[in-house]
Amino acid sequence: MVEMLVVVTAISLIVGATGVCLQGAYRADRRTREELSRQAALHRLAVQFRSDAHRAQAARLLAPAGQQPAGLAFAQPDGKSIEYRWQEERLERRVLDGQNRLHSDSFAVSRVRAVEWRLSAGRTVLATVVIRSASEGADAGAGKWEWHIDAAVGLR
Amino acid sequence: MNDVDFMRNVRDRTAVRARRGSTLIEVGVSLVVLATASVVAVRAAQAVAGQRREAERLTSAALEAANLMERLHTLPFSEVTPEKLQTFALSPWCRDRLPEPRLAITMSEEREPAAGKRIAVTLDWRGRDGQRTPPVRLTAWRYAERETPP
Repeated sequence: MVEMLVVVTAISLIVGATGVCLQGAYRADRRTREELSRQAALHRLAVQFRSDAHRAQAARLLAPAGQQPAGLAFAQPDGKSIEYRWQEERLERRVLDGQNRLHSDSFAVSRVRAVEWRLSAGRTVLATVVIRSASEGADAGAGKWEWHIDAAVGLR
Repeated sequence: MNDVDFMRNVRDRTAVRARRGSTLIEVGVSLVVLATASVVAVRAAQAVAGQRREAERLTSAALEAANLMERLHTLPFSEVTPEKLQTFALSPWCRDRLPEPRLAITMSEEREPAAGKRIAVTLDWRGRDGQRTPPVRLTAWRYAERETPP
């Protein structure tokens, strides 16, 4: 009886420890994948956003009257415009020729709480997008992040 | 009890004792193996988490260096001076993310292939081992002929 109790306790410890290890490994793997994916998306967004801003002749905020800017538009030298918007949990880039949409591209930045668009006044305009994370339940605080991407408009 | 029964009894007891010892030893060995594997797994997970944090810091630093360069490009060519460059500082969001960050922005005049200014942004921070990390460096050139009125 005592032997069985010892064996059962030991096996419980083994199974429990294995479970904790597996769960920890799974969480670490998930967070690493998510982080890598987010960093790749942000890097791609930064390169594309700066490239569009540098080529643009002008930039304007897409702001319905009395509301926060919903996005940002760059007027290109060829008459087309490129819009960046945050909608339906996606950061979207649209290339427009007048009202016709020529091309769309989206950036998968997960767990975003808010996206802010800014244009600074000055001789050379600076366009900025600020991306803030959502809280992550028990991980809130530790997992919070904020990214800023600045781009000078009309460098080329 | 005859001799045969006695011997059988002794053999059975020995077998039971042997089985009991075997079970306990197996469990003990399993525990030791599992404890070792758990320690290795935890250390590996910690290393992965540390590397993930370091990768995130590197991405933040690279992004901030590029942001600084973009902000520097909003300055007119004539205002790109060493004194002016010293007024640029890290954004609060980046300062919060990098441990003990150190920023240096330097400028040097160049004459070839055209009159221009070479601007270098260098950013490093304290790494996991307590040493300064290899810096993130970004260099750009500004040329006077680019400065056409808008």
